[in-house]
Amino acid sequence: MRNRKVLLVIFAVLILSLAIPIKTTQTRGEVNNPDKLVEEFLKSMDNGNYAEVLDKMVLWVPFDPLNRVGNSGKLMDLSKAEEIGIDKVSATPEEAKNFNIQLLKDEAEIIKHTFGEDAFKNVTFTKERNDGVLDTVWVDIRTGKQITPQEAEKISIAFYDKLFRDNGFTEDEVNEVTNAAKNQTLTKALEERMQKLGQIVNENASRCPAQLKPITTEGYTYRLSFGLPESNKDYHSFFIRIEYRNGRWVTLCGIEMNLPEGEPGDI
Amino acid sequence: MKNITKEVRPLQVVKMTLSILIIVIFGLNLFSTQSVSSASYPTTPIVFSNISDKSGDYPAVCYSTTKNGYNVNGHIYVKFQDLATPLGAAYTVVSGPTYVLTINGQSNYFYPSSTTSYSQIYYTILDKSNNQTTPYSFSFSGTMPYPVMTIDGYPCVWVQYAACTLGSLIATWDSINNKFIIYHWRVNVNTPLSDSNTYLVGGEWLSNWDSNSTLNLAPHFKLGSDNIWSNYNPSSHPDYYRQVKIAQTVLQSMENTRSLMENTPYTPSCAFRSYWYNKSLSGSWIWSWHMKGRAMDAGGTTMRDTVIGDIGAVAGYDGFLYSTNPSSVTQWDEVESPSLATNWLHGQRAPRNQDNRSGPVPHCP
Repeated sequence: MRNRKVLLVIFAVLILSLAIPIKTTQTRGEVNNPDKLVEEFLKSMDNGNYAEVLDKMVLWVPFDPLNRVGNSGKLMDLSKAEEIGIDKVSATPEEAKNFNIQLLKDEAEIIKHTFGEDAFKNVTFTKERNDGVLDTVWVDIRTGKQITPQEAEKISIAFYDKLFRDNGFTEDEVNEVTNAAKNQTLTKALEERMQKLGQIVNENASRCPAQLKPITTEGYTYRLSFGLPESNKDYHSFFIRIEYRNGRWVTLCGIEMNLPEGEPGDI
Repeated sequence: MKNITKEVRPLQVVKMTLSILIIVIFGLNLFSTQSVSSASYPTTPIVFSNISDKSGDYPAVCYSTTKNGYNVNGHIYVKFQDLATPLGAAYTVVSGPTYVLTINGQSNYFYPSSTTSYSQIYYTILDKSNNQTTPYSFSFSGTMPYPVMTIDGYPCVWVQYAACTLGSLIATWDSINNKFIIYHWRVNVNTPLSDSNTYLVGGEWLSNWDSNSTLNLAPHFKLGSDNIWSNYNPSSHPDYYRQVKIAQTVLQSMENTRSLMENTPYTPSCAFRSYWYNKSLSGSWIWSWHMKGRAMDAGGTTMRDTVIGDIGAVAGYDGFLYSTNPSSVTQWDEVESPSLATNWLHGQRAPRNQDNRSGPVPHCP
């Protein structure tokens, strides 16, 4: 009986131990196997479960359908969509501004409706190197190596503490200002001291060994093209963007509609 | 004896195996919970956008870039570094620790687990009538509804007020598209626009803000009573009532104009305009320099024409006249032509490519 209780407890611990990491992987916007994700995406596309596919994506690129790369920067007039072969428009330009996610979902329907069910069956995709500067990391400029935010904080504080001391401020004086500012009890004198400390920080920021640096993402864009007529291929393409950022894979996805400058639809 | 050994050994093996398993599982769990504790908040897109038209309740998104924020029980948080980068702000950590975001001369301080923020900027204004330079301090504490916290190992801040302290025109949750949007003039996809101006930034996110109408920002000009803040109440957007972002150069030119007009006191009709104030004005420009904190309207035709003479104004672009006199008293770089500013002076400082006219800044559609 006692052994059974022990086993029950062990079993409960086992379940709990496993459950927590499972929850984590579900809430993170990361994937370990981008190729697998692409495969799943294609499979769902084949089954016509567009909404499911879109919902499955871990994180949406907040996509502005009216401001596309390659566009002339003008607003796209969806009322002219028929001229470029789209015969169903579900949103006015004004609505599209506010409902871009809806537009993404509708877009799949538009392509299907216009080019037939087979449009999604002739998927070809290319893998392109994607080197956009999208992120920043902390680096120690003395070694050139990436450091954690905690290490950056430690290095940075030590650097400024020394600077404050070199400029005649004792640790107590610095703490007094910090605590007063935090507690909203700054006097005029402390405010002036805070100004001097702030000046020291601003003037020496570029010399601090811990620096934020923009990083070039290592990753790829998987670009999917559908069985569209040759003349329209330039206009539509779905894409899944998969990037390696900060040491982990992040999946982004969206839809792109390229409208060459001066073409119908581009007002 | 032999039988007993046979019975006990398997039990010992089972117990040992289970013990090892438990230790391993606990060990693994310990590691995973470390990442769980910080990763248990879902990510939410935070869109940084330049500023476009005035047709909608909010401007359209353009020249944008996106960072991941965290949804902490419905409140959107952003890493300090992710807030700083797209706006061209500097992020440093000093004693305390104190997290410092500095942009265009104004430093904004934040503290771990605290709802307090502190905005501070010092600048000087020269009164040309007596050739005296006066130092000014613009220092305000603020209280955010939610404290600074560490997520994923990164110090993070409640994005709305933090973005406002950095001079964003608007920082708001887009409930239709489930994303947070920050509108700021310096956003330019992944490369923020440079801007060497010094701006005083304030608004309802600072403590007792409304009581500062008579705060002197220059020898003869006050924050509220001289209409430097945007004294227009967009009732549906109360956080932007009395918002201000004003360049030190504009305050200086306001003083210089008074000096040029033989020290005749005047009250500007408008300096900074919030997005909704600008939108409410039928003749306003969608890229108005008032929204950038770099313009002032005041006076009548006498002041306008005197300034036009002072700067040696010649015809420029889009109805503006630009200065040909680098030694002008007022130092206004551009004024509106009399055909637009029919009976007032509209002066603006260092427009177009921030500090010179060599090229246009990106203009959103």
